[in-house]
Amino acid sequence: MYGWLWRHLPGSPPARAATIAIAAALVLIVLWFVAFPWAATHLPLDGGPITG
Amino acid sequence: MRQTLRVIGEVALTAGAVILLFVCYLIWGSGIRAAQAQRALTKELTQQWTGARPGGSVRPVSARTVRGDQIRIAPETFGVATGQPFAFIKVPAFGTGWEFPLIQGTDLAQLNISPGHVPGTQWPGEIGNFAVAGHRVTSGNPFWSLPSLRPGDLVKIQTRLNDFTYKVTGEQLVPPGDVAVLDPVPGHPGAHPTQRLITLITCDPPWTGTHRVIVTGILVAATPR
Repeated sequence: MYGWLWRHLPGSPPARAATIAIAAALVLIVLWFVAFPWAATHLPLDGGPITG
Repeated sequence: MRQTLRVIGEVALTAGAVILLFVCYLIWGSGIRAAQAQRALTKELTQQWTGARPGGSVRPVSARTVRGDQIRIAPETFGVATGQPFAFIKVPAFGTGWEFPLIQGTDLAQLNISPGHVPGTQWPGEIGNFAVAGHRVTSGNPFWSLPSLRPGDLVKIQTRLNDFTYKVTGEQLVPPGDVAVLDPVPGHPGAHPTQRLITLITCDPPWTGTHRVIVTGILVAATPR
């Protein structure tokens, strides 16, 4: 999978590495600021909602 | 075959890394996020109380001696929407810096921000049971030390018009389905309340929902502000 991505990315090896670094950073940002907060409000890891 | 195994291995490693990152988020990231939200809530509440935002959530009226006991309370009404702040909670036994804004609601969306008031239970100072729930872990671990409270420890609730002091009277461990602890007279559904109680709720053991720690207290003092 990663080998396939590396072979199909355009540009020189340093340019590919930069592209992968930017893409990885974007994925991390989306995970940390969007996906994980959303998941935390849907996974009752600490007991879930309290209702009367 | 080898190619397929390699792809499966890479996907599994990626999933593992994402799960590890999610655990890091729960341990550290959720606390940072909650702290940011709590600072905003504190600022919002302070602005409301200082009159910077007219039309706050409480109506000031003169202080009076309330029915049923000798504690003087400035009556106030709370019309806060879900997720909005209305008070601060302090527990001196947890340290002088331990203070959180209380918000309305106890769904995960609210608990992930700050401890919340259980809808349907009484408000601070009212006769009946004022119930507050908070996370034991994640989101800054606000109620991590709740099981360490002992009878006689104080819980202070600061609203716009009053400083309430509750004294802890007991602690118990109950299954999550035991909602009788939220009744106006805990454990006695339908009974007529005569005391002003507080119930603090969190989960036990940490990271599970198998049981809940219930700390109860009674109002011993109120100071109109």
